[in-house]
Amino acid sequence: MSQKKTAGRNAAERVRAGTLQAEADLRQTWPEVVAFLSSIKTSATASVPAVTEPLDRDSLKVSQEERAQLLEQLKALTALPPGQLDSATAQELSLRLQYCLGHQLSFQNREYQLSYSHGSITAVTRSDHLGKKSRSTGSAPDDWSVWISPRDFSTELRSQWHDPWFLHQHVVVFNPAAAKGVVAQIAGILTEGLHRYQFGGSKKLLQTGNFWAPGIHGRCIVCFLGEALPLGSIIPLAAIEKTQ
Amino acid sequence: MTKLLHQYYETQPIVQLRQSVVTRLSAADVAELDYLLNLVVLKAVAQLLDTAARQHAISLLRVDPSRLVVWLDQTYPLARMTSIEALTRVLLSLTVD
Repeated sequence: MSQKKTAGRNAAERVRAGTLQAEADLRQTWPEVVAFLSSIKTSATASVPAVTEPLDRDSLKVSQEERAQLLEQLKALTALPPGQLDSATAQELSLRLQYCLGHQLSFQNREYQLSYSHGSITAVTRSDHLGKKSRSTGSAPDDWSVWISPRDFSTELRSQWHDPWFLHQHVVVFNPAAAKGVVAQIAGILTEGLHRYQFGGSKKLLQTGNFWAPGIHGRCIVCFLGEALPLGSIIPLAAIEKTQ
Repeated sequence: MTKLLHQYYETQPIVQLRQSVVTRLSAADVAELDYLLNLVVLKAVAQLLDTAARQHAISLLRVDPSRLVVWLDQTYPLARMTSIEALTRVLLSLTVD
């Protein structure tokens, strides 16, 4: 009996020592998670059945709260001046977009990313785009084209006219104010006369995304799409709208 | 009742090992053991995640541990094996007399 008590005491001491060590280790690399676990520690009980059950994926649907948080984050981003999206936030937002929307979305395309991932968008017609005649790519269907600020196109590249890395890439142009995104293809760079905008969009793209609806000032977020979705597809954030 | 994070990584050997430790502990110490096992899983997972991924991971954990587990399985398949190894290692160390 006494041996059993001693073994129990030893085991408990080892658990406590292990906990202190694990907390100290984790606090160095991930202090937020230690703080969170500590805060819920008192509510943790050992009465949960130890049987491993398969995860019920239906119960894992993205919650309204998570969607609302995403929408708030997107709205906050569009309110910032262009160029204010740091890489850590961009990656965190990419993960959140993928998680909530279920699509492969990223602000990076291989090792590249746009100088501006958010900003103002204006209507661009094909004739505007052909200001530099020989520079037309001509590959993206006009209806779902988006153009990128010349900032992403260096003087050197402009003089040599190499295709910029972002050309032909599929993107989703999000309009958080209308709670939707539209799948588009990057057709080229904005002509110099439009450089106060970070993006240009075809008429149909702007109409579909409601970029010019009353009270919406053409703010958008552009994200690379890593999967094949038809141009013009709408990525609805209807569930987010309901929470507003 | 919501399962604890480490319980999503329980294999049969882990269940047996934990049980052999639990029999020696009081109820309060069992709660401490579960806390330790959660720390062990997160410590193992932390090695695989960068700063942004950790931020996302904790936001999922706050909602429900199952969300974190599903996301890790999809995004960091190595996380499951790493967590199981870490849990086994710690439980073995607790069963040695």
